[in-house]
Amino acid sequence: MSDVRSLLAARLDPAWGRAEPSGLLADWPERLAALSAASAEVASITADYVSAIAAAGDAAALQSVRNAALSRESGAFTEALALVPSLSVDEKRVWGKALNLGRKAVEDADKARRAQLEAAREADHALDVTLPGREPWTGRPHVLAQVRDDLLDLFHGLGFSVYTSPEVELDEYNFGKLNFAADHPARDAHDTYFVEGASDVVLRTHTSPGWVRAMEERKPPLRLVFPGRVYRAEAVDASHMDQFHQIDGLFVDRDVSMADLKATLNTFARAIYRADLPTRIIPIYFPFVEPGVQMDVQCVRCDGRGHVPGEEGARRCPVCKGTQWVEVLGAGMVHPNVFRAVGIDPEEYTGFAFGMGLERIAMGRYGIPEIRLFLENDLRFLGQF
Amino acid sequence: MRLPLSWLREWVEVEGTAEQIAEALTTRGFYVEGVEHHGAPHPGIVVARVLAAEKHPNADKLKLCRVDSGSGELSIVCGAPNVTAGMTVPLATVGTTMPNGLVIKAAKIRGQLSQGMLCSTRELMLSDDHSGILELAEYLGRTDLPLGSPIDDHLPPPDAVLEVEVPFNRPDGMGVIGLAREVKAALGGRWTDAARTRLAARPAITATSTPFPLTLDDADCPAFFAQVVHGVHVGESPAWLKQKLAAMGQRSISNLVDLTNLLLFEYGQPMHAYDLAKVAGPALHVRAAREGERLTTLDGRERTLTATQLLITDAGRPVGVAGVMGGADSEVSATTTDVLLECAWFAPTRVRRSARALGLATEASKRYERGVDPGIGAAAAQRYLTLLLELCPGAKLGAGAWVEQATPEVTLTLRPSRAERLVGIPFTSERCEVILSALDFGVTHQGDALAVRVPSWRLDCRLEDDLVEEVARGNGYDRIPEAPMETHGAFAVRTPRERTERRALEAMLARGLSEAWSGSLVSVAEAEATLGMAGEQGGLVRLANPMSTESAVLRPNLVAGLLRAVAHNLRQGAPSVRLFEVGAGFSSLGARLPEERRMLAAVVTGQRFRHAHDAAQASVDFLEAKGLWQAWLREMRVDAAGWRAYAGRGWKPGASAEVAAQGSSIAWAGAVARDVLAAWQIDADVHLFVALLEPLAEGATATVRAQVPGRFPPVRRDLAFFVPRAVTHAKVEQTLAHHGGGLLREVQLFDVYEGPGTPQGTKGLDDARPSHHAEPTLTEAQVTVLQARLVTAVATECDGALRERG
Repeated sequence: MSDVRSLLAARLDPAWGRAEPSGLLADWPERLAALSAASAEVASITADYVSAIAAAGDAAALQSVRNAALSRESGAFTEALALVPSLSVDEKRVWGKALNLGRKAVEDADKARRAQLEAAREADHALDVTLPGREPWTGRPHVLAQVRDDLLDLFHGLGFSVYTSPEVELDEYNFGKLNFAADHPARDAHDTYFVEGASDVVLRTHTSPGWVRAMEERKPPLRLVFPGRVYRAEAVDASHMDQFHQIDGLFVDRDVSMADLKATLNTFARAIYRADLPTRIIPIYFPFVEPGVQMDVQCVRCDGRGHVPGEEGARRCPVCKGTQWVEVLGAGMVHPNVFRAVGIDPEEYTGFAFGMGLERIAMGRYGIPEIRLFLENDLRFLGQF
Repeated sequence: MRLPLSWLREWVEVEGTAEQIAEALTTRGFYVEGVEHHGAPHPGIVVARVLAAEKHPNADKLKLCRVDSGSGELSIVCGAPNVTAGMTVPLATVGTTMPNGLVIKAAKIRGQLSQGMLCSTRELMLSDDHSGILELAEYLGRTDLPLGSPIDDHLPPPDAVLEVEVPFNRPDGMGVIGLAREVKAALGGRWTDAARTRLAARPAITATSTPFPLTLDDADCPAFFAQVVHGVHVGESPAWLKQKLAAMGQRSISNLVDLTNLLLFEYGQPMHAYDLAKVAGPALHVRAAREGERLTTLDGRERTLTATQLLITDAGRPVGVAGVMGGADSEVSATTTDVLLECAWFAPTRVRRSARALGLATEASKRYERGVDPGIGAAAAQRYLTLLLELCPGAKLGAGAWVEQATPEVTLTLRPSRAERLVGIPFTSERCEVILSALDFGVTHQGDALAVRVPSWRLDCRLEDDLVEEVARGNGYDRIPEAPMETHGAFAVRTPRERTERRALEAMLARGLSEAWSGSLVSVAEAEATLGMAGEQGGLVRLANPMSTESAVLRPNLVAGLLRAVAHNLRQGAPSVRLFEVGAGFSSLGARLPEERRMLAAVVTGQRFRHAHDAAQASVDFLEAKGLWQAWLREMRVDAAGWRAYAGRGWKPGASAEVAAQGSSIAWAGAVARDVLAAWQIDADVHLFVALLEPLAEGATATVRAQVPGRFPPVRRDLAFFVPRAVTHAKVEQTLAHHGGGLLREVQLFDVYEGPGTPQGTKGLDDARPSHHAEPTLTEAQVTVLQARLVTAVATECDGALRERG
């Protein structure tokens, strides 16, 4: 027995530091009590080892304590336990239990300290994860392309395919075949750019010449949309550009009526604006449709009240100018003269057409105050959408 | 066109507030842009006289006034610049609530007592004018206003004015009568008795009248009424007339001229009054102007005429451009005692050309060019004469002439079935009749159809479908239902162009470039600086009528727009710019229409990364940029793109390349030449890529045939050669590929080395050659034979020596 005691104590090194074991083993007081109950001496020596483990400053120091206590060849607990079989039955029970409790405490302390040291080492080498990453550039589609694609997706779902036609057009297609009489005042609404050296060649003032080309090229039934850039000879300011973008639509078949037109326009408004936004259609004149239709949606700025709160009481809504409605597109039934111009019998076929401006929709949707921003390509502007 | 409701109600009896009438007009196609309420009641505002107006002792911009309010003298501080002693003014007395809700209180302003407020017309909600205090005596044309009396006793009763947008095809809406007819039909009203009388009136030219010498020598003037009135008195117009014109935004000139304007606004019929004493003959003659003939018009400008203009002359000289503007030296003046009235009809096209050639758009020409009702002249002329005789009681009718035109009778057939087919709801012939009759169309039943006589003022109705629109309008567009959406088996497809451009867009977005949309119009200098950079052959497409020098020509390609964007963003402090655009370039090739080539262009300048704070960050160089374009081409499924050095216009020599596929040029890439960048004041290096989309469409949209990957990994061999500097990588690569046969799968460059260890005038090119064969895998012997063959080929064809690796 004294051998066991001296074996255990012999490996203790006075150079080891000491630290409170509770920091390593949360249940240290309970273990110490159980050990003390088994053997006060084993308890005391175990406490020495565990305190040394708690004080080990690095992996090497920890390893030397562990080796002293537990190494297979010369560990204090290993050797002490080797003596146990030679003890008397009573001593076996007491010492066996105490030594096993002690060894277990030392092993657990070692494991816990090892984890603490590893965590500390990792913490020393940690990356500053708040540093910005090596960030590649991202690209965004143009805001008008996004609006255009929303519309094309919608109309695609309604069965309308895209048809494209030239931006530089013959007067005959931009006006004549669309039932604009020569010298008619309706041409005044289309300030027209002419190409030098050819009085009959214009920059198209609307995307409607596409209908004429499509109807000349294909036979009904036709369900087409015509996205594209159009031109007006206008002075540029915050709300006017000499270039902007439209999407026309055309549906020609037997017995197409204004009821079909209304369904299509309302579907457009529900999808692009808001499902419950009130709409209305009213008459308007365009030479290429009869009857002509304008669709308005309720003003979203004032919720159709016509006025908004101001500093001195209500003031007129700046968006709808008090009319409660905002115009979004023009439409109508294809004029019989247009059908005749392309060789379609207006008694056999009827059709509707509509046209809308991308900029107006984009400005309303995103609160863009200036039309000039669209073609300026300022990265700060483009990157927002 | 402005429409005062008081004037409207002279013509039709209808129920409805201003807002209801506005709504009715709008929903029938006469868009009402605004409703102005005039003359809100003004309790507490009285007539006062300014006794003295001096500078406020403590404020430069204020005046301290003494004012006679009719019930005592008041001290009032006023900021208006026009206040002077002696003015008759509206005074808001203490306690008054102004139309905008402001309550007037007695207060000290900068130390001086102010016991009320002098008002501008805006403060009284009479107009938007806020330039000064209203001079009541001038405004009302009266000097006998009793001080202290409420101004409402003297102002016209409250009225509302609608601002109506008249469609181009409805010239009848350019007169009060035409709008009244629409309101009547919309709201179920009726003409007033006065209206019926006036509309039926005819000029009282009798056989006993002396004929006035009138000659019409041009088919564009088929109708003309001329009437002399003797003994007129030219003077100020009565208040009612002034107020009517003021409501239309027309200033008062004199009673005779004001009456012509009244008729213009009311009947839509332009008229002109000449001073008979200044009409030589007196006689009138209508003919085409002669080339170079001159006339000083009413606006004081001398105009040189051409045969485009229809001219009105007296016995000797021009006195007016028909339908556009009268001459200055025959106009009515204060000394006029005898007047000659003109009320005529001129062909719309002729007036339009004439006015445009002169750069004029007058109230008269605007109406004539859209089409004045050919049937209204007689009633309008008679109305003018009636009113003139009322204003000048001593006046007497003199000589007259009346050439009437036979107004064309237009009768159309309307099938209710056609209306149903177009509008989408059933119409009975009775319903059609009710709607059309309300608009004064003549309707008779002919079996299932209607024979509809179109009134003279409805120049827009010439086809059956025009009547369908009338029926749809009259019935109300709001009553058209939504038909169920049916496809009848139709489906939409994405066109090859859409699919190509979608792929082009996505492949660029993935490279971190944002999409730009630039204007298609550029300056001549911009176009010339970039012409040819997309390989275009044709000339520039110039505008005949550009709005500015910045937008004078269509872009030949997309380069100028992107360089504009680069310059703009650099000026705005952007460190890097990465943009691309898909669009058309325009070239004139001699055909009627220019060629429109779809292309993609992209620019990058600045840093490789949006952010990097370590060595990875660097400026984009040629290879970095080329890598972007190669990746894009790969995504466009361009497999065998050949790159060769390029020194075309606009590109920096030695740093630019042309890319060819299947024998034709499809793209250009490289640095933009300094002199081009200088045109946009760009100092940075700009890497540019331009690709034509048409040649890529087929590959980009083709359906791929799947290939099963081999079951064995490829064999790789690294070979390094010294080759002369003049031998390009492409040459070595082609040599390897050519001699590799079916066994060589891919050649990949892994280093380029020059410097110590390389023989003089050569460079080291290291090419790794993963070889691949399907199954069974290559034997070591096969690889050794292949390798020897490749080394020999590079030696003989590229003058290259295998570098033994140490």
